[in-house]
Amino acid sequence: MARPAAVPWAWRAYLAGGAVIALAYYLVPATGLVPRWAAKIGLYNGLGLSAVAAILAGVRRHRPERPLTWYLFAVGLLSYVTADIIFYTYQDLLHLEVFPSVADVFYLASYPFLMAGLLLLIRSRSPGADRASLLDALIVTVGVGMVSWVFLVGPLAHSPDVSVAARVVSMAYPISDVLLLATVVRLVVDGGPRPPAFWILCCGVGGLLVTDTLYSWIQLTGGYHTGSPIDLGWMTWYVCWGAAALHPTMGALAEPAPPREVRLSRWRLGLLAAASLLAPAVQVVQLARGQHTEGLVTAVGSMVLFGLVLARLHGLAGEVAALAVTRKLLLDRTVQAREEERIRLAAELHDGPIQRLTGAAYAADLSRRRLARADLAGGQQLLDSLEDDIRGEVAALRRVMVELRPPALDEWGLSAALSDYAKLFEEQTGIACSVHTDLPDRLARAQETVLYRVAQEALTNVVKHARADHAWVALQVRHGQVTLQVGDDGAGFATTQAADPVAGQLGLNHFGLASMRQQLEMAGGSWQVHSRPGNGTTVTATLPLG
Amino acid sequence: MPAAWGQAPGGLMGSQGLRVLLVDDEPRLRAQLGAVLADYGVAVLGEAGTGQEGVELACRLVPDVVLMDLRMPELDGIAATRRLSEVLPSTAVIVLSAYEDPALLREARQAGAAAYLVKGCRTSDLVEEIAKAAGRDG
Repeated sequence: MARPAAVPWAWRAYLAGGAVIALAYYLVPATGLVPRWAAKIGLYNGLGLSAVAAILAGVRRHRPERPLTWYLFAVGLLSYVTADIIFYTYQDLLHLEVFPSVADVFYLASYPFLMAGLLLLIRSRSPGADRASLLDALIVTVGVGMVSWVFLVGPLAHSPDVSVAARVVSMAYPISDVLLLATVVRLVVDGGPRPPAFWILCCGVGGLLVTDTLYSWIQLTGGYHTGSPIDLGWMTWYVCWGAAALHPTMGALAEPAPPREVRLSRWRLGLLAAASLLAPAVQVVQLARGQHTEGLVTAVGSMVLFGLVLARLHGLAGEVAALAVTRKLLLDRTVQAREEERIRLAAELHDGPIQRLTGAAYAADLSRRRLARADLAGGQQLLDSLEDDIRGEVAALRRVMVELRPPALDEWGLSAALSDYAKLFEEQTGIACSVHTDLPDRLARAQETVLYRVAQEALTNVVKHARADHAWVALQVRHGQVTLQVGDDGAGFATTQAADPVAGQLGLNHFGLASMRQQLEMAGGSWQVHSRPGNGTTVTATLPLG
Repeated sequence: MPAAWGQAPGGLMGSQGLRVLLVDDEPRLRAQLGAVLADYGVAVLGEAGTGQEGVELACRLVPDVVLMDLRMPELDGIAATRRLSEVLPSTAVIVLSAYEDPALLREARQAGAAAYLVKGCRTSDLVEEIAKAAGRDG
C-alpha cells in the first residue's frame, strides 16, 4: 500500500478545527437552537471520535516504527468516548441516574490502554534500565497519589450514603489517574527525544489528568453539570492527542535516547523536593482544616517517600563513586599515554638524530684527517656529504619540534596551525585533507591548544582506523561557542561497540577518543562522535568562547 | 688540539693491524664508522645488523674486538655480548651505545663487555679503547 504524502499543516488544521468545535460546544446551546445534550453527544463526542480518526490517519501517514503505541491510544480514546456517549444517553436522553453503569466499565477500561501505549513508548525511548528516572517518577507519583488519596479517594471511601459498588468505582477513578500520572511522569523524565509531538502529547494528557482531578473534586460536592467549563479539559486532551498523531514528528517520539547519565537538573530537583514535601504539607493542611483522618496514609506516604529519596541518594552516591573510578582510570590512561608518547619520542631520537649525527661526527673526523694529509678532493667530497646530512638532520628535528609544539599555533593561531598540520598530514599519509575555518579572532591560548590536539588526535585516528580517502577539518564560531569538526569518508564504526574497557565505560570505543573527551571536558567543553559502519566518522568538539 | 689531529694514515700507535667486527642495525652508521676506522688503520673484518648475526660472524671471523650496539632486533647487544664472552673469550666486546646510563653500563660489564662508549665520542678515543681491549695499549 502506498504511503500517503505527508501534510505538514494537517496537525495545525486539526487543532484549529478542534478549537472551533470546542467554541461551538459552548456557544450553540446558548442560542437555544440545539439542546445541551445534542451538543454534548454531537460536538463533544464527535471531537473525541475525530481524535481516534486523527490517530489512525497519523499512523497511516507517518508510519511510526511501533504503531501499536498509537493503536493503544486510539482504543483508549474510543473506550472513553463510548463511555461518554453511554453516560450522556443515560443522563440527558433517558434521564436515568445510574451509578455505577456500563459507562464506567468503558471509562475505566480506557486507562489500561492509555498506560500500555505510554509504557510501550517509554520502552522504545529508554531501552536500557533507567533506575534514576524510575525512582523520580515514583517519588512524584507517591507524593501526588497521597494527596489524591487524602482529598479524593479517602472521602469517597468514607461516603456514608452510597453502595459499596459505587464507592469502589468512584475510588477507581482517582487511583487510575494516579497510575496514569506515574506513567506520564516517567515519560517526561526520560532522556528520549522531545520533538513538538512530544509536548503536544504531554499537553493533552496533562489536560486529562487535571480535568479528571477537578471532576472528582466537583463530584464530591455534586456540582458537575453537562456543559461545565471543565469539559474544555477533556476536549483539550482529544484535540492534542489527535494533533500529536498528525504532527510530522510523531515518528520521532519512539526513537531511543542516546546513552547518557541522567542529570539532576535544577527543575528536576525542584520537582522531587516539592513531591517529597507533599506529605508534611498535607498533614499541615489537614491540621489547619481540623481534620485528623487519613493520618496513617500520610505517615505511610512519608515513609515510602523517605525510602525512595534514600534509594535515589544511594543511586547518586553510586554514580559519584563510579565517576571517581572512571576518572582514576582515565588519569592512569593519560599518564600511560604520556609515557608511551615519551617512549616513542625517545625511540625516534635514538633511531634518527643520534645515529645520523654520530655518523656525521665520524665523517667529520675522516674529512679532517684527509684534509690534514692534503687530500683536498677526498676531504671536500666528505664535507659536501656531511653538509647534506646535517641539513637533512635539521629538517628531521624541525618535524619533531613541530609535532611537539607547532610554532604557527603560537604565532598565527589555530586556523594557520590546522592548515599547516593538514598539509603535513596529506604529505605523510596520502589522505586528502581540507580545512575550512571562519574564526574572526584568536582564541584563548589554552583553547587553541586543546582544539589543535583534538584535531591532531582525530586525524591520527583517521590514519589508524578509518581507511579514508578524504578527511576534513571545520572550525566555526556560533552562538558564543567555537565548534571544531573533524570528519572522514572512511569505514566508520558502530558507536555502541566498546573494545576498550575504560573507553567502554565512557561510551567510547578507543582510548584516543577518551583522551579527547577528557581534554575537552577539562576545558569546559563537550564533544560527540557520530559514526556508522560504512559512513565515515565525524568528531565534533565544542568549547564556550572566552 | 684534537687527539687525532695531524695523524698520518695508519692512525694512533698500536692501532695498526687491529681487526674489528661492527654490529649495529644502522647500515649507514656502520659504513661511516668502518670508513673512519679504516683510516685509523683498523681493519674492519665484517658488519652485522643484529646481535644474532654478530655472534655468528664473530665465531667465523674471530676478530680482536667486536663493536656492539645495544638496541637491535632479534638479539640485543647485552645478550649478544654475554653469548660472545661465553663462546669466544679471546674476543673483546666494546659496547657502543646511544644511551649514557649507569644501569646499562653495569649490565654490559656483567655481560662481559671490556668497555662501554657512548655514541658521539671521539673516534680517537674509540680507537684507543679498541687497542686497549685488544691488549695493544702500549
